[in-house]
Order: sequence, then structure tokens, then C-alpha cells
Amino acid sequence: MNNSAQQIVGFDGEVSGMSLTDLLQIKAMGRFSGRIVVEQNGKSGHLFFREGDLVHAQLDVFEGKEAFARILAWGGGTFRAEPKVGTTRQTLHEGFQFLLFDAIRLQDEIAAGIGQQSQATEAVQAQKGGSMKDRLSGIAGLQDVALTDRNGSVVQSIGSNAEALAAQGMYLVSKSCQIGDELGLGSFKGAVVQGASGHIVTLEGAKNYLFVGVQGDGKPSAVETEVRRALANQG
Amino acid sequence: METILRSVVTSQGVIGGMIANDSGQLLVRSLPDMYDSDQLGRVCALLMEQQLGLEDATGGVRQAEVRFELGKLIARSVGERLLVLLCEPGANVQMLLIALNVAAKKLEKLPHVPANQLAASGKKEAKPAEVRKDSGIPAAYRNSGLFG
Repeated sequence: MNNSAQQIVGFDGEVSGMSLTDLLQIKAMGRFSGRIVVEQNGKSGHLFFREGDLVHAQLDVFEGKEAFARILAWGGGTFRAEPKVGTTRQTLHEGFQFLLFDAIRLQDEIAAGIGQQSQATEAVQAQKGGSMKDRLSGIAGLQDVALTDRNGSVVQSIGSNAEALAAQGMYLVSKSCQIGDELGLGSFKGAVVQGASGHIVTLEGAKNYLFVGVQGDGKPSAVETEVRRALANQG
Repeated sequence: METILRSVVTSQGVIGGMIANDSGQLLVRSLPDMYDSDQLGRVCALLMEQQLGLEDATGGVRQAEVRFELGKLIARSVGERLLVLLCEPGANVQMLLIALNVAAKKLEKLPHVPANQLAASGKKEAKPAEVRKDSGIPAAYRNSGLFG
């Protein structure tokens, strides 16, 4: 066997129509180490992985979570993986799935005007196809949605019953936290409550809770999957 | 009841489980010794309270899956009883639900024993938690009328 044949490890090539979120999840699951370069309209975002953990994100002057959220918000572009490029910097410390959800939450905050109101933010909102309402409204079985801060104040909502849903959701969170404390299970991460005539799905972000009311004939697990997909997909 | 509980706690990803009655009193348990019965009784009472608080919103809670950093809790209402499973964080709930459905069906067939009869039979039970009625309701919502 000659030298050039021995050096070829893995495949090189191009894929199209794939979301950045999907690619990053595959890389995380494959315990990728190296850099993913994402490019759009002359801008380059850099995502550094170490053994499947996202350890650093950089976009212009932004670093860490904000850079990651902004890169994910790009509706399209190109990406390439560079396995041999590493970094000594670490601006991200949480697990990949947590960072992904947190990035989505951060995008919502930016889109809702809680975050920085910069030109870049407006571009992000336009590219990702609108706010939380636009992305979740079409999900079958979904009745009401309330995005709240940690104190239960509603930040964004869908449906006429969102305020009550937020109150019920916060009650659920509060009781769950007491149960978690009692059993030493650590922090609350979410809940799915199935009832006879309606269901409640609760997702937890770094600074927010997302409460989703599901119709009685809907499947809460399916709605949860759809909600996560809708929040994650940028394309 | 112990046999039913054992059949489900041996499923992959399950740390243990317990069954409580409709007053939140612990009937049987199969959980690591680090959890004492009083502690588990308080958990059952909190779960019952949680279900009661969400009754209007859900038309009666049938099942709750609560996820935490270090584990998840699945509470299934079975007639007058509550079947609770403590699982590892990565447990496959969909797989687990098959075993849970079987256990729930068996549990439904068992006759209901009122709490006072249990006490008379000398079975040691955990006391329900002494929790303030509105302790789980965020201050902002306590007077909203949403929780009775």
C-alpha cells in the first residue's frame, strides 16, 4: 500500500440541505475534536469541539454562548470541519444539548428585544423566520404556550390561556423542585404531565421556562419533540 | 403489591419505585436504603399535591414525568394509588412505559385498602408531609384564584 492511500481516513465532500444543528449534533455524538467553520455572507463563525464537547465559539466580537446563538441563527451558509485545528480557549462549559437549548433561548430573548438591539439581531430575527410564535404556532395539538422568566413572569405567549398556563407551570416547577430537593436529584430540567383532558409540557432554559399546553387528544411527547425541533431548526 | 412493584423496578434504567395511596401514604417501596420512609412519604405527599393542583388544568393527572439533573421521576395514577418510579437520567421512558402499563393493569385489579385499615393492620407507613397548602404556589399567583 502506498503512502497516500494510508493517509486517507474518513470522507471528504459536500452536503446540502442539512441544518447546522443536525451537523453539530452528529459531531457531538461522534466525539469530534477540532473546529467547525460556518460561513455566511462573508462572515465566519468558529466552533471548537473537544471530545464532542463544544468548548469555544467565536463570531466577530462575540464569544461563548452569544456567538453560538448567533451562528445557529443563520438560516443558511456553508460549513467545513477541520479536525486538526484546536484551541486553548474555553468560553463554554456546559454539555452540548444544554448549550443547544440555551442558544435557542438566547435567540428568543434577542428576538424579543430583551437582548441587545443591534443590527445583527434584526438580521438574526429575519433570517430565522420570526419569533417563537411564528415557529410554534403551526404545531398540531399545541394549545397555549408561555415563555416565562424564572419568577414566572410571561415574556412571550401564544393562546388566550397562556397566563393561567404559566401559573400552573410555575406551580409544577415549584413542587418538582421540592421533590428534587427531597430526593437529592439536583436541579429541575423539565416535565411532561399527561391529563385526562389536557397536558402540560415544561422545558427549562438557563433563565426561562417554556410551558406548552397540549390538547387532550394530542400526544405530549410528540408535541415536545416538535417544539424542540421547531426551536432548533433554523433553516 | 410488592411483586408488581418488583416487576417494574427491574426494568433497565430504573433505580427503584414505590406505591402510595390517595392520601399520599407510602404503601410499598423498593428504593435504595439511603431514602428513609419519612422522606419518601413526603415525596408521595408532594406528588399528590402536585396532581391535585393541576387537576383543573389537565382534567386529572394520569401520568407525570419530571426530569432532574440526576434522575427522573415517573408518577402514574392507578385508581386510588400512585405508582412512582425513580429512573436514571438517561432512562428510555418509552421502553419503560410498556412495563409500567403492565404493572398498572395488575395494580388496578388489586382491591383498594383504606388508609385506616392499613394503620389497623400494623403496617408502618410514612406520614404525609406537613406542607403549607400554598407552599408550591408562586407568591404572585397565591391570590389569583387559579389554585382554589
